[in-house]
Amino acid sequence: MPNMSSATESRQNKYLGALYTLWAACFVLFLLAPFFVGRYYVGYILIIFLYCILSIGYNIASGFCGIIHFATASLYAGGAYTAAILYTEWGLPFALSAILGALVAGIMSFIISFSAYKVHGNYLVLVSFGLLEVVTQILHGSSFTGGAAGYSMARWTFFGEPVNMTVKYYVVFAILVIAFIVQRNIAKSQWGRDFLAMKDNEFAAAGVGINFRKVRIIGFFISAVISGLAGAMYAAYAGYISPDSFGFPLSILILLMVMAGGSGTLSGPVVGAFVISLVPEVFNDQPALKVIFYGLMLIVITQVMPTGIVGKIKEKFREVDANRHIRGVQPETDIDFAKYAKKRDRASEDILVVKGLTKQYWGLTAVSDLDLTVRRGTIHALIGPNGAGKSTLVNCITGLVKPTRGEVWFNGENITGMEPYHLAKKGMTRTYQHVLLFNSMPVIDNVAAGARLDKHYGIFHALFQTRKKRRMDREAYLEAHECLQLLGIADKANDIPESLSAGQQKLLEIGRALIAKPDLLLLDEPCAGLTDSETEQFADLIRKIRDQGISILLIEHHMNLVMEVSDRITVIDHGVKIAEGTPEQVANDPVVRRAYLGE
Amino acid sequence: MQTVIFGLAYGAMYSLMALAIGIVFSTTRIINFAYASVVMTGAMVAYWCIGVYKLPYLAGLAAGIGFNIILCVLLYKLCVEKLGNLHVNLGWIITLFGAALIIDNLALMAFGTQSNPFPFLFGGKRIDLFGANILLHEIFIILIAAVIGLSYQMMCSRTKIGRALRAVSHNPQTAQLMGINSTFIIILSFALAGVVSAIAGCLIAPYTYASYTMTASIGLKGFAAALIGGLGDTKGAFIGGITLGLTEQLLTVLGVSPSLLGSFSFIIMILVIIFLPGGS
Amino acid sequence: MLQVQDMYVSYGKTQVIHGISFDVKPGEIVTIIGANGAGKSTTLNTIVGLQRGSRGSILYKGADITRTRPQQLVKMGMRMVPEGRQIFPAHTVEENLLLGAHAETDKKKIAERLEEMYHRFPRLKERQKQYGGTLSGGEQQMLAIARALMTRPDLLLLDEPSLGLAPIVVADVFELLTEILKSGVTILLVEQMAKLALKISDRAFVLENGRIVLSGDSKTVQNDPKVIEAYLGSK
Repeated sequence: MPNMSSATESRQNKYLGALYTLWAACFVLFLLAPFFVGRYYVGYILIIFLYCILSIGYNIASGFCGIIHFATASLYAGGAYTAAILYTEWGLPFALSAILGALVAGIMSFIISFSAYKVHGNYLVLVSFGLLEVVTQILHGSSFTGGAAGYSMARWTFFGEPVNMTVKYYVVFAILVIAFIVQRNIAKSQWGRDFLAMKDNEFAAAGVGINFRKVRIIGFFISAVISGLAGAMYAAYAGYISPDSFGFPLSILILLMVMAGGSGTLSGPVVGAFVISLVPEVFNDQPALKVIFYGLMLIVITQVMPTGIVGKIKEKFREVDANRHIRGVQPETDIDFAKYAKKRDRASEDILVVKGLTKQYWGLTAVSDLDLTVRRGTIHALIGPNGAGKSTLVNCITGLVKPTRGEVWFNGENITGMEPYHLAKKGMTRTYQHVLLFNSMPVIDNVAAGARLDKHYGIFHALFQTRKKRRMDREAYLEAHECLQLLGIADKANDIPESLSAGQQKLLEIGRALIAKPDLLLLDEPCAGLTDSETEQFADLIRKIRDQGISILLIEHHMNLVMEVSDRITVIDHGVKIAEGTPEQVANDPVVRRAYLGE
Repeated sequence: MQTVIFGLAYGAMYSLMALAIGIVFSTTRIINFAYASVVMTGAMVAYWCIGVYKLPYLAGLAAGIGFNIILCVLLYKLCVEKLGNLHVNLGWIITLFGAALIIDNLALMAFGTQSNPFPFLFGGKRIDLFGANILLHEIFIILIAAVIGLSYQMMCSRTKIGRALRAVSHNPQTAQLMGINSTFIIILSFALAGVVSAIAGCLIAPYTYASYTMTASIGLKGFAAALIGGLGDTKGAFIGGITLGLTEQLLTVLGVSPSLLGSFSFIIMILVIIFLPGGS
Repeated sequence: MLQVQDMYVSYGKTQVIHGISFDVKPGEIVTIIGANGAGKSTTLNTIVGLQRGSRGSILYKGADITRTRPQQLVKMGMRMVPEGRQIFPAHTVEENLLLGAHAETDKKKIAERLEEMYHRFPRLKERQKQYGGTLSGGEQQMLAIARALMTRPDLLLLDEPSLGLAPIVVADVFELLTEILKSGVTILLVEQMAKLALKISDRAFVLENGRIVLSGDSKTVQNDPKVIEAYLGSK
């Protein structure tokens, strides 16, 4: 059975056809607009184009990377003032000034992205707010930017000829189209998936090898550069810029545009920019009412329509996003788990060695002097009553927590305290107790995310849709699809993770962890909430994986399962190892019985 | 000496704002981004009563307080309640900002753009204290802020409802197991913040002039003060406020221009956020 | 006194309780035992209103409390001592007790009950002015139970009272529970430490993966091999 029914496929073709036609029509419409409307309206549409570009920039930061901020206006200002000053005072050609302006905005973005190292959510918003104010004060205060009176840019000329409105219109239009394409190319590449993963869940993102701090900085930089470029064009259009145009109201306006249009979608920012620019025209004589309308929109949209206009529409036309790479893929008949056992440099017999691990939290000792050895190619279970310290131990092994004392050795290498995102590359992947899936992406992308280390390419390739990028993506998706087949959920490839049943979600997480070809697979309570038959299937699955040489560290409460599949079991209680051995040994151990049942 | 008094007076005003932010933060863990607008409405409503209808000062103050209580409860109901788990759903950042926009512009429409003089306490009488000539108003700001701070602190530690409020701050679910209606306590905290904001507004308005632009001029000072002192802690709010107030005055004396003072508080805030996530 | 009928509870997609029914009669101690993840805490949380089940009903003293909020149940005479005790660390011992009496409006009664608690728990009286966070685990457990008793409940729910406590302390706690039972309070207890809980209770239910797999009076359940299976898997 191909992964997509022919009905779905034809529907996708139909919707995509309609969508592309729509975009083509808009493109032609705006291309020809200057011939039909007066100069005033050309300028008016140009401004809306600038809002579109700003919205695209903000969408990359907030819709994709998940950074909500209010610094848009200052990035806009950075680009505008830099370009204007360089062009006027230093006589640089405008194109160069504009690019430098964009770069200045990019550099300004580091203030926010470096702050994001330490701060989150509401604090980050305050920092961006602060940046906005500081920039405004600087602009007001310094004389070479013209202070509060503003700055007049020299007339934009091209080889001596003053550039007229129509040419400005086309330049901005071209930049908008480029920005749109950049957004699309990034979104439909591994980088876009990395952004979304980071936005959805940083821990899981690190688990598949994403250095989310670095990715966040890059994402935000791109967003800022786009905003800065728009700023430079604004300076060229208006000729005169003053600090008042770059205040908080502009940042809020762009945020509203992106939210109304659909944060995280491709067409959302543009749709939002047009809707929010045009609809309040009725309020034009009452600027206060206009802002009230904006405020009301912010309150209502957040609570009633958080996905925006385009988001709402997309819910009806889901097939549009169906993965093209796997269309019409015929099911493989002879696949098995062998392909996930990577031939890595086998350094040691013991794949995971934990020595004397201790973790103390302000007087409370969660784990005390624990030793654990997992032999290669075995299923090793970790069990213990509630509060025994299993989660803490696992977090120390996977780098989420730094142990107070002790060491963790993996494949003969000391990985104690290493950042989680390194571990995937070294061959350790995991699943999580409370399933951490990337809900902004379809099921197949979740699995493909796991393959990102193998099928990696730089941002250059993403931006220009090179052959390498297309090949890597195709391979990643085909592999992901195979993986889904192996796990029996290939028919859900294009669905969102939330629509899967609990058992299927657990399988999906395993797929994501498996496709990275790990040496050690860490499963954290994979059977919680599963039915008995699902648990049976799970036992089968785990054994098949182990048979290919992949070691498994299993944390579980389902005693039936643990006794059935484990090669060895370690029992911990109150942070201390109290028993270890084969399932028979452990089940009959009186110490274990006492720990669980009490005496 | 003059500088010190100014510093303390301004500091006291910032402290009240930080307290308003802190009260809501302590029960909900969110920062009320619309608080500055609430301070402004308290002042505007009071002005309307005092300046336009010529009612006595206290009546105006009471009206401002009453209005703010209703406004803050509305803020909770319309912007926060529906969002569910506030740690996960950050939508409150946007809804509260949206509310601030609406409030500011409704004020603009209702009260117009002119800046209205707001009366100082005691008619602006000046006295000589330790060799400095200062307004009685300034002394009273410090006293009133101290009284409010102490009363709030005492309410929290001595009264039944204060105890309940602290319980909800720590864990709303466990508080419910005690028979406490956590939602009611949260609404109460919003209302209390409204009361404190109204008083702060009436005290600040004589300096900034009562108009819808008040929000912008005082907005971030309150945040900065709250963050410096550590969110949610009464003592912290005052430490933060006084520190900010005194430092600002110090800088003014050293010749720093007033507009740069604005940036200064932002820079402090950014630094505090980045380096001391818990505040000092 | 308490009747749970057909309770189904889910966390999002995951169904954790699959239709359980049981009852608690006045004057008895009933225990629910089971391994980790069996759904014990979920059951209690749903009864007390911190969580909502998707189906079924809960009757307390004859009244339908399926949708009742926890604070209202306090007024109806049901108190819960949550998992991990959850005392308020920044409140003093006395304040914690007073919070326990929040639903009581008569000041005299509150004062009386406070005296009662200090009489019964002399250690708490010693630490009257100390902050809850400075107490030892066992003392916190005493405080949590005393706090719940401040409104003289008819039904007391306890979620894993032995969690994180040394065995000697656990013995003290369970002795305390028998005393409380004698004073007329019905007790529903959820425990992982099966043996201890079974010793003091009248009836028991064994929960495994969200289903009741065994029920009956404690003596019978105690000796049933299914209990060991539920915890340590079948041989």
